[in-house]
Amino acid sequence: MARFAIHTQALTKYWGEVVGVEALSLDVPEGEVFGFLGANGAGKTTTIRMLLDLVRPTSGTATVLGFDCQRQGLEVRGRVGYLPGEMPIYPELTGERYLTFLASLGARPPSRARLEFLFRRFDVSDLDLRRRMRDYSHGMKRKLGLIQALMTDAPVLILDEPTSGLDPLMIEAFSETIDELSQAGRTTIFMSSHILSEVDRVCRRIGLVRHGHLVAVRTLAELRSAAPRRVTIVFSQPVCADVPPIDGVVVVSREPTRWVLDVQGPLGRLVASLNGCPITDLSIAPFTLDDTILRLLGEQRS
Amino acid sequence: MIALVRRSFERVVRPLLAIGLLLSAFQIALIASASSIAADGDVAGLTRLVPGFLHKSLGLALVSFAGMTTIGFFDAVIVMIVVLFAIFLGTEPAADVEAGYVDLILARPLPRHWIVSRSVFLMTASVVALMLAMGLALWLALAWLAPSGAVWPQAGVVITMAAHLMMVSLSFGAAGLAAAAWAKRRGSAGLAVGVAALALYLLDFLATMWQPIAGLARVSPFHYFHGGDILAGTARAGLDFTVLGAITIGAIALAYWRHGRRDL
Repeated sequence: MARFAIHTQALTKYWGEVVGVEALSLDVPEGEVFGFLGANGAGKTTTIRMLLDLVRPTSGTATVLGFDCQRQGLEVRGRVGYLPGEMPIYPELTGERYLTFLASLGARPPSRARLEFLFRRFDVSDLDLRRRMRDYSHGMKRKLGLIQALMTDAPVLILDEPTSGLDPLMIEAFSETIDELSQAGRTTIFMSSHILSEVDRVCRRIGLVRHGHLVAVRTLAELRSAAPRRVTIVFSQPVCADVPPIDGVVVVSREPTRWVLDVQGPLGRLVASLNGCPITDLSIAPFTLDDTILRLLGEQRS
Repeated sequence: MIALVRRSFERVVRPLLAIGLLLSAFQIALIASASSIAADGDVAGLTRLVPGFLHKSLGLALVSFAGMTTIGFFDAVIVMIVVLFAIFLGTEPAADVEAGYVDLILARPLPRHWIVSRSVFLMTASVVALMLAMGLALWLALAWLAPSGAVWPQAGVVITMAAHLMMVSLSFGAAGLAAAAWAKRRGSAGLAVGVAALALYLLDFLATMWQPIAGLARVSPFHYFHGGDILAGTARAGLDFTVLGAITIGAIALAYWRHGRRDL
């Protein structure tokens, strides 16, 4: 039986009458890169802050590496690297002293080699480290945030909106780092985001949260296989025949010389049914996670 | 814990130094002024210049050189400066929540109560440091400026004054700490306790003039610190310290209890 790095059971948090998170049950096996998706205010950060015992659940339980997040908070937090969604800074500190201070609070001091590696990876120079944080750009603060989360080689990383404010090069550096950690297999990564392309790039599985409820947990492979592809067929002359009734084919629009269809599953039967039609062009839009997620959210809403 | 205390100390060291210098400078200026009056030989004449209702609170401070030199420990403005600074220090846990520092600090394997312990330590150490600075400034100023033959204030009186000022300040600082354990903003916790401190000071002050509310003044921590009574030797220091200590310990205990249960 796989050991779960993160396990929540009916985790619930009410803010007065407002639902923060309700009955959220989730398992993230060790070594997985898990994306936690949802719109702003969906409950992602509340869930994360309950895992870190910063917020106390109204009911339900959460464990990290088998330790109860509330009753064994110290054990949990000693094994987690955390990037907050909004990175607090001490404006009067230099970047170097900021990291030194945070390292002094941790259970394990980071190695110099690890820090040097991260500075190189995220393009942080000695000059940057000697500047006061009040002079940092938003992106620079996020880079320091990522470094402080990654510097201790914690077995569980909890990253809240990790690429927010990063430029494309740094997003790539982040993705590369996550890939390396994932391949090494020793680190479980739980990252929240509402940027779907970022999740698509690094995660193996996603959980979708909406209005405090976990509405779906899928692997990206499952999402891809279940996702309809948009097929556009252009004819050289008007075609009067109806679109053949095939399971998994939905007509989006039908004009005499142009059909737009959403096709779920294999394309073979559709292609075979078009035999003899005057086709001049056939295009298949690639799978996008955005469409699938939006469709899942739409289904939940309806 | 040391790293936490050090970080917080680094953030307050400038205001602490500024207030310490201000209060020390006031002590020196006060001694210079008292020395001047003593040199003119009309110390008791000061009493005639002060409105009658202030006599109770200032008491013997106005009739001797030694008394005048202790005003720096119980003058209303001085007391409120130290009290408000203690409240400012006590409300740091709310500032940690407001600025999001708890997300950095308590995402690491630190017990929650360290946040409160750090503020208790920093608040106590800062107030003690201010008392020491004021005492040192008083002693230096006396050595430097006091006219020859002038009678210095007794060390026991000065220590009792400083201890009362420290205990009053810590009781309000602890109240600030308790308020900060509920609040998400330092401003709201500090404002609530700061306004309460002013109101309680005024209550105690009014009670010295208006007998019907004299009993009510017992709820004010300032009721347990009357410099005039200390100078006259009529202060009940044991009772004062017991009440102020109980308020301080009770408020700190409340802060620990609440901070351990709150959402950050």
